[in-house]
Amino acid sequence: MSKALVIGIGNKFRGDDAAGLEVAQSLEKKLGTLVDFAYCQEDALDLMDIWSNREVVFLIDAVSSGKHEIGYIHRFLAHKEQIPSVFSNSSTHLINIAQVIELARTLGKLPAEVVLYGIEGKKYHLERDLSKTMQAKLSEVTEIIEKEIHKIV
Amino acid sequence: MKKRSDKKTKTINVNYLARVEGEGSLYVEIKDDQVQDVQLKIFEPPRFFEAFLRGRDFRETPDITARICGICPIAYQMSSVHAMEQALNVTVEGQLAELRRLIYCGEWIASHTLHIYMLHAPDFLGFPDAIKMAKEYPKEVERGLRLKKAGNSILSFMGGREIHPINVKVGGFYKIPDKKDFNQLVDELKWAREAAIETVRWVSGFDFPSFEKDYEFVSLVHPDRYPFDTGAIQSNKGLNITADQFDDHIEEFQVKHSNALQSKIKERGSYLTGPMARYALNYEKLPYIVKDLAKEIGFPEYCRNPFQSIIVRSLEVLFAIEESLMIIQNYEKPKTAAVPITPKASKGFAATEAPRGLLYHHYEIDKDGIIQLANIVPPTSQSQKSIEEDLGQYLQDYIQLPEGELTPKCEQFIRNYDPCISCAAHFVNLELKRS
Repeated sequence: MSKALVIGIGNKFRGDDAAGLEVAQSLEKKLGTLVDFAYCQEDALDLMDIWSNREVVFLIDAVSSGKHEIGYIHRFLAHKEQIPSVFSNSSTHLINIAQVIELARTLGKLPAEVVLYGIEGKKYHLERDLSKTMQAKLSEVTEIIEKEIHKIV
Repeated sequence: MKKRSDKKTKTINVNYLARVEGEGSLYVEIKDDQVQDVQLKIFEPPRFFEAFLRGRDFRETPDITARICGICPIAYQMSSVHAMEQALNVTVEGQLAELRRLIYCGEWIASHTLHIYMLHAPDFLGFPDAIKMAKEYPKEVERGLRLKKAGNSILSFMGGREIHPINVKVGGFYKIPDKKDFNQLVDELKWAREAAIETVRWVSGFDFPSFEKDYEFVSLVHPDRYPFDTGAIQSNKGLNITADQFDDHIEEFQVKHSNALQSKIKERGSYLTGPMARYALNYEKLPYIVKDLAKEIGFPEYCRNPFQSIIVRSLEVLFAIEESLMIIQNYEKPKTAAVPITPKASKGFAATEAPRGLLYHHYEIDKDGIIQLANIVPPTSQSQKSIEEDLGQYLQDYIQLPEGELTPKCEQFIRNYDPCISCAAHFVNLELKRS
């Protein structure tokens, strides 16, 4: 069985959109020997290549539902359920994550187990820094997802 | 979706096409069965980038401007380096120039294929999106994904990475490949050539609405080759200028409904850039494999129907693959990766062909190479006025349709022009008012 793969998704020049990348980077320092890590910036279609031949994949992205506090973690089992519209809106990816997952499902290219985490963000302007609230929440978010990964892997 | 309606006035509002690559919105007003107003509202970040560029070193332009667009970073890099090189009296020639054409090929292949397969084809086959289309056309969608990846592989190979490549610099490249390094690309590009031929045949079988316009097409025209980053700016109605004359003939102007400036030719008005313009003005320079295929499918040398731009894009994908293979075959590694550059106080101008059309850059730098002025006119801005006029003309024939049928027609029509706007146009709301 192939190693589980964690994919950080986002754009480091779009404020809170970098949250998925930063959480994945923090996790890599802690779990680098347990699971593999990859990063996807902007072209979400690359995900199908990145996760090919993997059975267990964790996707970490930023989202903007406007219904939750910054740092709230949305969690979906993408291999079992359709991805809600929260992953379609405010995407800075050319083809959004939800579309890529559904396309992969249709083409039979979705890994057996895909856990999708969406970190609620608010500020998606063209800038390099996360919002201060997101920065303050990152370690907590990282810890929660780390525990989840340990449960599965 | 918002709707307001009475019997005689329709107002169609497609709200928020908003990302760097083309976010904006669409507003159409119809009164007494006549299209009164079409407003394509695009919020173009290049204004922000122009301010951001001021005070930066001239060498930073390719890396900064690449951030303007995730779909066509090479176009921004190429226009910026050409403008800086013109300012500093530097000419990049020979194999370095060929490598620039090669990396541009990668961008055209990836960008066009994304548009053809993921955004545009579903319109003609009656699907709301590529996901639904993939259920009935899985082989075609997989072909499109692999073809796009072939373009991305050139970008990664030459640019260091697919998105916002980092290997392009003023004067050339930071690092250039050995001839043997290209082996990793060739087999896939040969597969891609066959896939591109299949793509042309596939899309040529679609049903296309009958719509034509007597466009003023504007593109680069090179005496010998299909244009990427060199050539004069020409049109089919007499425009023939160099990039440093762009501002003398092309006027940018504000419209109330959009943050983005629109463009027009001062003497005449709206114009269209992009694949249809390039194809119309440069058909003769296409390789035989492309021209023969165009003849095989009965496609003319001059296309005025924007719905058929999907065929033109497919032909350009084939061209870009053939061009890539030719460049790779003839490649001999140059002695240096870049020519030396010395800053001086000067002005530079350049236009190159982004996948979606002409991209003009103008810079002024001081004696130390610090940018004092930057002006960027993206293709979307240039074609915006024409798109508005075209949509008004097109909708006139469908004026009696209910709003539920008019909205998809508007969306599909916009998708004819530009992959960036097309992305954003999927997020639509409709307001329809009749009076």
